[in-house]
Amino acid sequence: MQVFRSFREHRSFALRVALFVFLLVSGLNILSLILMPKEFINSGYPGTSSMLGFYDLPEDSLDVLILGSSHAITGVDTQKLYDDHGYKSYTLGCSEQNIAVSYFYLKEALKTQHPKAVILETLMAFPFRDDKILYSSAASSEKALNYMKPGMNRLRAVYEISKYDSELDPLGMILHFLQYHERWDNLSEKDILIFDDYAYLTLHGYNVKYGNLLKEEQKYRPFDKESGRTGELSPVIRGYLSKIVDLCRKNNMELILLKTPSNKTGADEYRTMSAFARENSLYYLDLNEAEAYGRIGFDYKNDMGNVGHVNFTGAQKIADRIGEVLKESGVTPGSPDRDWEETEGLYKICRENFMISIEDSKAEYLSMAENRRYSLFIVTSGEEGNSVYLRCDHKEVLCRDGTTVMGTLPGSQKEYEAYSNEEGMSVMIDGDEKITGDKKWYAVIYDEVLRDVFDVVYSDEDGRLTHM
Amino acid sequence: MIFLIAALGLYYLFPPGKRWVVLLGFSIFFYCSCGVRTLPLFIAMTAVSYFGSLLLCRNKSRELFFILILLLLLPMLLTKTLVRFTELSVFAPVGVSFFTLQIIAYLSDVRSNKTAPERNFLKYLLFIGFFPQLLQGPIPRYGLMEDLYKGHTFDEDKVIKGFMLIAWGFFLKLMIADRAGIFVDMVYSDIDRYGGTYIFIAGILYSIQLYTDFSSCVCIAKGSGEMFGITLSDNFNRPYFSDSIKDFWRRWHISLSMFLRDYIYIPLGGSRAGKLRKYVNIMITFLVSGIWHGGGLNYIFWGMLHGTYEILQELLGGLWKKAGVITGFDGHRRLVRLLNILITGFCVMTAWIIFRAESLSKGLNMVLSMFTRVNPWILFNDSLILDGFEMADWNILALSVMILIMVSILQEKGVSIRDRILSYPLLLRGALYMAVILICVVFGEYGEGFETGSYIYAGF
Repeated sequence: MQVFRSFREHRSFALRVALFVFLLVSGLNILSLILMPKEFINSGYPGTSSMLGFYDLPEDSLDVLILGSSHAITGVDTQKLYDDHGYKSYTLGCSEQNIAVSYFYLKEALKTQHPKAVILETLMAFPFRDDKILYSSAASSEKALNYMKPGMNRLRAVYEISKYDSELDPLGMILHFLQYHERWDNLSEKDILIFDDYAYLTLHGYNVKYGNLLKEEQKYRPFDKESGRTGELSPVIRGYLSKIVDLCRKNNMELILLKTPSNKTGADEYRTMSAFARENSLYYLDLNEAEAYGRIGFDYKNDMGNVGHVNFTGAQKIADRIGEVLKESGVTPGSPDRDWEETEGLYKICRENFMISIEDSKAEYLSMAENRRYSLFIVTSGEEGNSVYLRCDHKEVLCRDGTTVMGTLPGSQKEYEAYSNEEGMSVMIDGDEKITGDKKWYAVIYDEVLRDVFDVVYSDEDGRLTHM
Repeated sequence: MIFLIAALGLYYLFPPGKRWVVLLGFSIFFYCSCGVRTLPLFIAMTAVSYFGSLLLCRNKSRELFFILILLLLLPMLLTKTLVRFTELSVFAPVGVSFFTLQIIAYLSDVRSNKTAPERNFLKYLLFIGFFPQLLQGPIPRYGLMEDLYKGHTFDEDKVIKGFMLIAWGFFLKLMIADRAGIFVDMVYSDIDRYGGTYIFIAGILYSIQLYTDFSSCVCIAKGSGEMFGITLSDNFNRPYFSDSIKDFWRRWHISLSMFLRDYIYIPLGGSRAGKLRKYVNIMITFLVSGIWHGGGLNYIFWGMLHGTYEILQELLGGLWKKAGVITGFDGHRRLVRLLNILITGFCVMTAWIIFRAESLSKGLNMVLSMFTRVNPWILFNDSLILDGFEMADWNILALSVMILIMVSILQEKGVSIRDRILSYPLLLRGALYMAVILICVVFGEYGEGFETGSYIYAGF
């Protein structure tokens, strides 16, 4: 009775305190969102957009969920999988995403989606960083869980993953402002974009890797399936893989293990993962194995963006093969969905950017760069004279007197500065120098939709282009 | 904070007569959370002093009193000298330097009939281990602690004022003390590289760091106490506004100064037995103060230096006044006071430089370097921007110190800032509280590499 009487007497105070606490928590939440590091579509591996975009999907709209690290993000063309095979897929991934994170992502995804199949990219089942139990850096685990919605899955993920990595601060991973408050002197326009539609810009978790390896001295040979020896998965990794297997069985989802082409894993890993797949009656598709590699017509130099990650054409080939595998496994595509239709425009933009990123003829390149959503900077020196050419926001500027051209790029608050004079050449965007070296001709292309520079090239004396 | 909210909730839900039991329970829990292995020695010291006080009540012999004092001083002396460098340090009671003095004062008061001994052991345990003041004081007297057992009724204004004091404590710690500490640590970690003006700047910043670090803990302790309706004594009274060393010790760590005055200086004879004896008593009192702060020679030197300051000030006081008359300064009271504040501040800062040093020789070398290495230009170029202490840190620190100075000036003029804020409209108050919290959260110095929970004075 004393309690109730006491509460009645101070009810107004209690209400004021409750309101204050509510506003304070809301304020801290907004602060956390601003302070947290972000990886949008203009980042190499846009984990933030991927997570936000996933929560934005219509409920129960997914046929296939793809989980994994950067190899999964860049490796499967989700739009191609929809356009040519009818599967509505989404890649929930971030760079160095460990198997434990993939497990918790799957649990989280099952709250709103009921996919018929799950594809798990297996790079992180094998030592990527030898000093880590889960093989991934603490920073990547933090990034992976930052934008997961608050709830038991995130709490459980933070608790379990920080058990295996002493570098992680579990409290900071829950109360983000504690962990990231020191970013206050490093904030930029990007941090405010979290409240913009731009933050949700994603090709259903797929990120196009630009460029190819044609000009690089890279050697790669797919392995024979009989080579190598069967090893052991680490108990922790095996534990999480088994949990994923169980969860898929429990929810009647087909689990497919996938390894995209890369030089990071070889025959030993193939044999080890094959043994695990056999044990659990799973389909395992390792595209580094000679037969599988040949079947999709993969060409390492043409289809890789860098030594570890496939590029746009590589991801298309993988998507085609996955479409076949899904069909063979009896996974039927669901009905068409507006969400996947709507990303056609963005997909076209990325494809155009990719084509530019592999073009090595200057004339062709300049013709492709005519697109109105691009801002083009060309700086020259030497015999052609010092000049800065800029086409930006429907305006053209040609400056030959060595002065600095300055302004703001369209679609963002990013500032640019470009000059070419006796002292040298520079194209500075948002404080970052985009050109390096002592070549005579450089071009920098900024995409208004992606809000970032996506290609920088220089020209050799023979007029061929090299992408930086 | 969760701990405090839980304690407050339960405290006010209990019947008034039993509310002290809640405080006792939470104090024991708090003590255990600081290190459960230190609990047995803490309980043992409390028990010895409890039974000792009952004995002293019947038998006031000097021998018994001294035996008790020696017995109770032993853990503190061992902690400060031998134990802190060994594995046994995990058994050293938390806050031993503070509650040992509290116990000594209590036993002395019981022996001299200033207070009656507490018969209830649990109440006595609460008196010694009341959680807000356990780690860094203020060192309470028994008379001041009687309201611990009263069972206060809920007072909205007191709770809000307590909250304000806690928020201010966090502001001092996160915005000033720990940020200033970065620069101080950098300079002290490489004194060969950073000499001259760097030492001077580090000395100023350390003076600010030590004050804000210590007073933040006291603010949090006092604020927490106020939320329960319990008033803890003041420990600081804007010490850097002191215009003499004597004044400084009336304003700095007041509860320790009062203890030293009442239980060391006056029992030694104080100023009653001639000037020479008075000066000896001053030096002994400051020697004890130095030893209390730590076993190192630099602490002892620091104490003796303050003793010397005070004696010199007394000896040269007349001369100083005459100099004022001759130069015509004596008519400008404000200017003279400002000059005195600056001189006192400089003397105190020089002593702090030695106090902070790893050893006496390093401390003396640093002070020497301050006067012999001439590099004032570092104030005007980018030299003070160090890797890890950027311009943004200077800006935040400067702004925060300005706020501290403004608040101190208002307080010096007798303005009660908390009462004034309490008179503001509700929305404005709420916005102000919110702003302070969010500013501390974003711009405060804490997280990886910082131990916000550790306070400088908790190590003494």
